[in-house]
Amino acid sequence: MADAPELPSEVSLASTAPTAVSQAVLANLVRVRPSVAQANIPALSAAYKTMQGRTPTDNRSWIYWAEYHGFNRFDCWHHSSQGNHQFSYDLFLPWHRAYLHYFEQVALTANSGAVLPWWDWTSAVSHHSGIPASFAAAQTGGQPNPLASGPVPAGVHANPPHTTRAPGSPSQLPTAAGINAILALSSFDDFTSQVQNQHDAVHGWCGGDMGVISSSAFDPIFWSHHCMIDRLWYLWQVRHGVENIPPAYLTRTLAPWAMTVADVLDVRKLGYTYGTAAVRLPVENFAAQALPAAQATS
Amino acid sequence: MSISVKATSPEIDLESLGADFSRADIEFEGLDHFGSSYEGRLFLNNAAADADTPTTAETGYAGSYYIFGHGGCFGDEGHCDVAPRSPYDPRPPHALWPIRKVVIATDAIRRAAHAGPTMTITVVPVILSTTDKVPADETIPKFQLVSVIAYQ
Repeated sequence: MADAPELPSEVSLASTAPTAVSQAVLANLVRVRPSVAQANIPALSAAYKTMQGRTPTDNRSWIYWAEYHGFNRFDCWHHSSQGNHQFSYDLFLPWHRAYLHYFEQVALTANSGAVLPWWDWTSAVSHHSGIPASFAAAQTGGQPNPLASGPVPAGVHANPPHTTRAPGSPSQLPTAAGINAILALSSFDDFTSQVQNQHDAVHGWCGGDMGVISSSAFDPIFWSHHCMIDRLWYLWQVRHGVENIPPAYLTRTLAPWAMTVADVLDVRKLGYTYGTAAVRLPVENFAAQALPAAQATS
Repeated sequence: MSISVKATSPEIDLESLGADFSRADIEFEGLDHFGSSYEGRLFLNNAAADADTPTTAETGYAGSYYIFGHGGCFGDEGHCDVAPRSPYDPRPPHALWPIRKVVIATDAIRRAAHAGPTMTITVVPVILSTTDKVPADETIPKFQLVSVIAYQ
């Protein structure tokens, strides 16, 4: 076998595409929403702190975005509703997917590492400790923890001017077995009804401001709870089909978001997916080694 | 804080559900969700059940529905009055439009069917969260109809 040749000192494995193209490839990477345990907590905390520090009239502020859900806009969708239409439809899952998507863009603008993490309330850790430690500690570094509490407008309650919780016993959180049974349901209407019931249970379990629609989105754990719900829909879609939804839903608008149900079915089209964590390896980190020349076989 | 009221159905004829169902649901229509958030625990053939009753098969526990309540009214008078929209009104339904909940209770109903020809459903509400905007005299639960539906 021939010896491996030595590599030139300037060898590079990097793409020869123009820099602008390379940058665009990296910029268009699909985000991986991680579990809370694997999340970039410092970046998330920094983003939330920045948003919470802005005045409510700033359209990048915490209060501005939380108000879309409950007080004082009440744009959120929960449960099936007959409304003034001819069929019972439930926009709970698609509406909240769009809401998270818009909110995440604001958080990422505040800190580019602030990808929203999901709180797995079925996990052994949650059934032992309840609210994740990173969201439960009242202070971090001697300062109020922006993941533990968020500001609320005076119209919700003036004292205290921030969210509080009153969580139940961790053992009362939904179980993995129960969620797996829900993921096995094959009808979208069946799935959304049952997963929403578990969503409602966790809101009530958290108690305090998370416990009612009007104030829940002001609590930072709201966003990771809803990431978990969105992830469960994603996992259900992986099993039962991305476009598995009654056709009559597809053209429904998700006001005030400029999206329809069809727009939010595929999370990759929204620029994200779900994993436990993501490890990105830039090509510069790879070791290069020249291989022996190929030998003729005949 | 709301006033919790236990609600027990009349006797339900289980023979009309058929003997060989593969799934059976208890459906609530027209549930009110204006005020406190609560868990509605369902017990079959146990009208004595209360908030301290264990949620086990032995007590007839069949599952729970959860209400994520609005926490009362945060607007002026009339803000939370629900009325049907005009067919020409493009807005979504009022946020307090009554809702529907489905509890899949196959095993519990099957046990009840094996035990006798009839059953009752008792709803035991357990308040999870409330606010000072919920009227003190609000009673829970409030609903319009309960159905038991069996599927082959």
